[in-house]
Amino acid sequence: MGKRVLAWLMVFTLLMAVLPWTASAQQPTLRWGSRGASVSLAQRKLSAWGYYKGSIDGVYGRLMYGAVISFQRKNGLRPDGVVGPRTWAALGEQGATAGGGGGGGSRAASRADDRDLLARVISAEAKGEPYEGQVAVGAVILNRVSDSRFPNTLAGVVYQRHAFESVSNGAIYQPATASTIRAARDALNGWDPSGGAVFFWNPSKPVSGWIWSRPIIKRIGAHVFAK
Amino acid sequence: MRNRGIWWAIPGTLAVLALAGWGIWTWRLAAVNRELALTVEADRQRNFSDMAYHVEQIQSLLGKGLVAGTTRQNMRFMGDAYHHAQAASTAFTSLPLPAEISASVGKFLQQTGDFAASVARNEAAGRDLDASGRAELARLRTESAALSSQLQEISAGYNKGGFRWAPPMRLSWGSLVQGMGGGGGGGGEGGKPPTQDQAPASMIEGTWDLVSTSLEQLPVMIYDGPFSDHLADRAPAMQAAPISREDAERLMRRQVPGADNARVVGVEEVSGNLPTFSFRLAPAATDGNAYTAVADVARNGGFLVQWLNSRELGEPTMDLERARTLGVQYLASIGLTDMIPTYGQIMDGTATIAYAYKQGDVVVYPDQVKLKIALDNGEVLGVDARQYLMAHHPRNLKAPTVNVAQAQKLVRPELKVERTQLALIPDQAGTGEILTHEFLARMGEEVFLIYINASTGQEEQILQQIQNDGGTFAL
Repeated sequence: MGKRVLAWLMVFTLLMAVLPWTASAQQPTLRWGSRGASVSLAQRKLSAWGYYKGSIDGVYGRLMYGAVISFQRKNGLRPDGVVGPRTWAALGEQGATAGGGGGGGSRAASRADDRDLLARVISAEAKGEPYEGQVAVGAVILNRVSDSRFPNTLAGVVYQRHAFESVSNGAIYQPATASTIRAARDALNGWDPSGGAVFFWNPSKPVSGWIWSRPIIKRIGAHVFAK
Repeated sequence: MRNRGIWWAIPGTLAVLALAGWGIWTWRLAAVNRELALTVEADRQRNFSDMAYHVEQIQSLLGKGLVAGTTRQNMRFMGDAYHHAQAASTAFTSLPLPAEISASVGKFLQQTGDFAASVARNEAAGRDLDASGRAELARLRTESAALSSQLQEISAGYNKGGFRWAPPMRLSWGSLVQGMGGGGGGGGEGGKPPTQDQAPASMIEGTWDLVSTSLEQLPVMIYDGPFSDHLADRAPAMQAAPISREDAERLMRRQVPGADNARVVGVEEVSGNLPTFSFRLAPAATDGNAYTAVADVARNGGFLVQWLNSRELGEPTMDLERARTLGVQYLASIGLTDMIPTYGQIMDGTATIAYAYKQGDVVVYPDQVKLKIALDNGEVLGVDARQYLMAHHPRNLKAPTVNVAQAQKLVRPELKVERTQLALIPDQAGTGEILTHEFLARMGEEVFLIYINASTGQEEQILQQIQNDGGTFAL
């Protein structure tokens, strides 16, 4: 009997290994007991806004439950402690619907294109960063366009080999969030909180030693910005 | 006994089928991978060969430029050299090279092209190449010849099979172990990713490194083009005494719209050619250290350099005209009088409007402040005064020697002139300023801005105005 179960289990595991599946691009629904990067993301958000007082450990526990409930109450959502699509949207982490309203006739098509590409890079590189940090990442990319050491076009800079990890790992092809679309627009309109930087990196991740030789301008959130 | 055999036969068969399926899948995957690797390889090698070709052309054109007898001939060589430099740089930036190499070689290509373009531009305006320009040209020629021969060397190495841009993955202990360890990562840097594309490392050690270090050691290039080295560290035109952080905060509160309802979450000192105190602000009603707005105040003089607030926007209640007026009022309230609105644009519930300084009857375009105004309640959500602070100084503007009527003769008769005014504009190279007559003219549906030099009568700049529901901006 035990052997039979074992055999079926083996087949099942094999089949699971063979079947290729794709991960969903949306943020998963979180509830008590959930774990992982999305929980950390929600914890960071809620703790930055003063709802969550515990540590950012990626585990949905008692403190987190209380934080979610009070966040939902404040934002007119059903206080059920479950972080579903609506709560994610209130947290500012929902994929925005294409484009964005406002004027924007067909004449401004190229600018809307630029904004979308820029917003997707910002989204992939600086999700969960303060707004200032998101605009700064956009500004770094635009500073590169007008710097002699980098390509002359937005697409040239974004898709340059080795330039952005989100291009190598495909994260850039996910839709931009509402907040990063706003950030991309501000960056395109010329705002630059990075102080003219052309490099940025996350010091807690492995990067080449050479990058540290660049003169550092400032730190915003988890990123260091440099000339 | 027999029963047992059947119980084992079903899962056994399924396991064999699954294994077979997995095998076929892996085999197909390998074929697709090989094909992708070869496509990438072909693409990169083509770009590399293109780059080598263009660099060779550049060095030969610069050489011809040195010996050209006539200016017209030289202009042609310089124009061609510029285009080859552009093409070389496009091809080059698609190659997977580490940042330090792509930065130095890329910069060399851009500056070479930029220099050639500036020579051609000067010659078109009647200014021939002088001795120092010739020396620079000769130097660039030597450098590009050296770069060209090093590229030939790399190319020869490639042809001997020395390296591949995208080597297909082979089954080995090494690749298995790397696959296990190299997972993780995630997040993103503006630097370079940790592991991918290590293959060309062998070749980077050799010739590329040489190329890059020899180009790094080049002296600073100064000429009148936008990528010239001396432009990068220009000092602001508005000079003032340094102030303390406390004074800066006081001045910040006076200049930032709605600062009374905000608390400072953090301050950062930012250096650069316009050093600032960067104040991070959150609404007073919140707690925690999350912030929604940033105000940069100049460490010298305490001027508001940049202000950026990101709040959710309500339904628009006003038009662009109203926003323009509110902007003028705000600028006057922080001491910037004589600012007039130029182009503006509505996007996603905000208006972005550029204001230029007006000295007498001359619009001074370099002294520009940009405002972002919320269309729901007219609040100023953003200020960008960097251009103004970098450029603004008391100017001694000479009276135009070419009058409007004379200048208008240069505007093509197909264009219907609707408005004229005097305007100070930056020159093409970005190094100086020119007094011009500005003509707003219409041809059919399209609106152009034409700038005629007010002392030489030359056409300096043509801009096309883009009009849409969102307002106007210039191209």
